[in-house]
Amino acid sequence: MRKTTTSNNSGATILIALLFFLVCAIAGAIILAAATTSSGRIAGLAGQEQTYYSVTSAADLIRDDIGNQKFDYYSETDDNGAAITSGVYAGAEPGGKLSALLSAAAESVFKTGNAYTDDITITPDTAETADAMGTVTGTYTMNPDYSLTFTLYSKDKPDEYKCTLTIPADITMDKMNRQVVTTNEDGSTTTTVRTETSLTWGAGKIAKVN
Amino acid sequence: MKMINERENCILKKLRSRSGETLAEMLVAVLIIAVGMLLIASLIVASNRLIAKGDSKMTSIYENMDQAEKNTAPATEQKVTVTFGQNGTASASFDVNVHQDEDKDFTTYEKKTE
Repeated sequence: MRKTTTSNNSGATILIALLFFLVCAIAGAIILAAATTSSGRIAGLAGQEQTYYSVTSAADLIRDDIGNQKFDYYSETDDNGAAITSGVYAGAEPGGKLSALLSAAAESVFKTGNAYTDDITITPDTAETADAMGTVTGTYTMNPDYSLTFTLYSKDKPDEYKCTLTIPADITMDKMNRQVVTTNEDGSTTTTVRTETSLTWGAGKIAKVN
Repeated sequence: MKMINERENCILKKLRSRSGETLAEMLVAVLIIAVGMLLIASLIVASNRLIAKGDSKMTSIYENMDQAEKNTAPATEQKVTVTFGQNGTASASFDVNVHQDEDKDFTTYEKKTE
């Protein structure tokens, strides 16, 4: 039975034709699969790059706003070291839209001497732009030397792209003490110690976090 | 070994044989081969079209990336809100120029110069 099946020639042409068809189908499927994979990769590339542009745009915005802003802060204590007053010199408040962020962080660093960390979120107001770019979120830290470090990433795709924005601080006066003697109405004098810090934030640098 | 010899003999016998296949068998075989060749030809054409489309998309993506890098895509004035402080207690609103290319591949923004 087996011998007759292997040695019988009838139907061989159709078998060869079917084999040829199979080879054609497999070759075609491989070509199509390769083309589809390559096409899918191109579509994914645009999405990944958009995350990069969203995060970088947010970092640029913060960098442009904080660069060259000034901070002049003082605190006064009496002879016994008790706090009398503290604050920013009139007209010397940090400018820009993020002045509240800078003031709060720098005031905290001035008073505690420790780093100050908080969260930040950047969202486009228009729905269409917000859909295209997504929300960028992260944290910022004002270090004891008043330099700022922002870590930013996409809220929806945190693993796709992450960057840091580092803004140095140029300190011209760092907790410099000087005695202020005030003459009162009755002729007596009051001596207070004024501690001052003055600085300017410089140009920030954006770097990718690995 | 015996089986291989049998098969070789069978092929040789077939080649030496003067008798052909039946007409019906030949017609079906030619039809199958024709369909196979048509299939592979159409797949090659489709794959070529995909490659050309991918190439064109790639070119447009790189052009749009270039625009995004330089912020030269058409711009519209919009606002961006920055929220900070514990539990988002403080916020600042920025006037920005939003740049988006015609294919809407990439969107960027930059602080509006005052």
